[in-house]
Amino acid sequence: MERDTLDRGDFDDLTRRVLEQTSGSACPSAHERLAPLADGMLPPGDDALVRMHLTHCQECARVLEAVTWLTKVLPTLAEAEPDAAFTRDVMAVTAQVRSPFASWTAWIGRARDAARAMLARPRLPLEGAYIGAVVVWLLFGTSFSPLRDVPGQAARLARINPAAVAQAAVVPIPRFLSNPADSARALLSPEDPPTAQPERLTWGDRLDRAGDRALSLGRHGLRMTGETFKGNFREGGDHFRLMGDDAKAIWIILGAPDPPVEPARPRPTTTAPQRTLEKEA
Amino acid sequence: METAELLQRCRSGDSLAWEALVRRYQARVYGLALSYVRNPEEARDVAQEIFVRIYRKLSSFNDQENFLPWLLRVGRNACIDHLRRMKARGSNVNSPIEEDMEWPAPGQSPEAEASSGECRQLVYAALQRLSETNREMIILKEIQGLKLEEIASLLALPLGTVKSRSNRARTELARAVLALDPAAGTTYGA
Repeated sequence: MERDTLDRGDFDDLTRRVLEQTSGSACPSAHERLAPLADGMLPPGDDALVRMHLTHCQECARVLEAVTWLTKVLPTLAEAEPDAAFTRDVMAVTAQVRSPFASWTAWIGRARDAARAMLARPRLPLEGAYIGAVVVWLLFGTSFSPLRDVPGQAARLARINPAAVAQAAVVPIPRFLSNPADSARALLSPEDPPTAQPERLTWGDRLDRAGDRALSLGRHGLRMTGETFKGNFREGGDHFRLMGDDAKAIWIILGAPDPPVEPARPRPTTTAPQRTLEKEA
Repeated sequence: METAELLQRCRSGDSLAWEALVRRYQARVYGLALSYVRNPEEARDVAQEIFVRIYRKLSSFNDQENFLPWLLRVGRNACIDHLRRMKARGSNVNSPIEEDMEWPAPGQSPEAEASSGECRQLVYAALQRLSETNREMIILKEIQGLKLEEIASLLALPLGTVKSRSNRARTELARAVLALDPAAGTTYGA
């Protein structure tokens, strides 16, 4: 027997088919308004439309029910009790943090944390190698560096005349040579010595003494860092001052035209003849 | 004692006031860390870190400001930093919550506590299904109760964007809850 009227299910089905062929499902639009509806913040027109949709859509009605439930449940998650030892642990940790109101202490603490965080990074060796390469390039690769010619000339000298390398250790450094690159050039042409007054301090002696002071510089640098990390700023400052002395000494030994005469150290015996300008004269 | 007075005493170096402040806000801070980190052990460490940061920054706190939003801002930044560190180390920051994990809840009757524990577990599991943006919106707005203006300022977003995201996030969460438990809302005594 055929029906001549449609029941509610038929109408719902009809509506769904019409929507499918026209605007698409209204559920996404309803979903956007469910949260404000649960809060009672929806404008009256929208409120009526969403409520009408909900009377025909079980799925959206369930979502609204869950949204309403969450509105009550979520604020209860704001607090969670930690274990009983938590407060004691926090007090112990913050006691180690010195007064936050002494700004310099806070700054040092931050710098220390930053240094530790930096050291803990996995890319540190790579970055160290990169910085090292840049330093080497600045020292020997740039056009303005006084050391720009040294590596190439030293390599050439060693290749062409290995005996001259041994001899170079005792070649006197002329007074006018304040630049290591010029010294290297002088080493390359020992047959044409400069005519200026020679200095008895040899290039080898200079490097020897500068090396000692460089080691001292590094040692003081490490101790300064250690003392500063321990909070002994006075001792750290002393080591910093000693580092300055070492750096100054290295500068004078290597770069000054007239380096200070220090008591000569016993040199290892060498078979190469000592060539001085006096002898040549 | 009012929070403002506690803060004043903390600034002058009163450790008793600092202890009182920690006790007053520790459940809140731990709850925040738990929402972000989702692992009770890690959340404890992060909560401790949050208090250290607060202690260091107390002198920069403006008295005209509301303390709780400031605390939540500091806490949120600490949680984000922790998650970034974990990500950089290759840890799975989205590790699933253990089924039998006991969620710490404020003191209740055993029945209510059991129900509350299940309910928390369901909500946290549903939260994991959300995008990071929606999850953070739920944590800040619905769980921690920050105002829309405060969230907009914290996340540097327009107010309208925060509002629409907040509404969308709630509906998404409701759908995620229903996907996990179709009877949610009726089972836990809505």
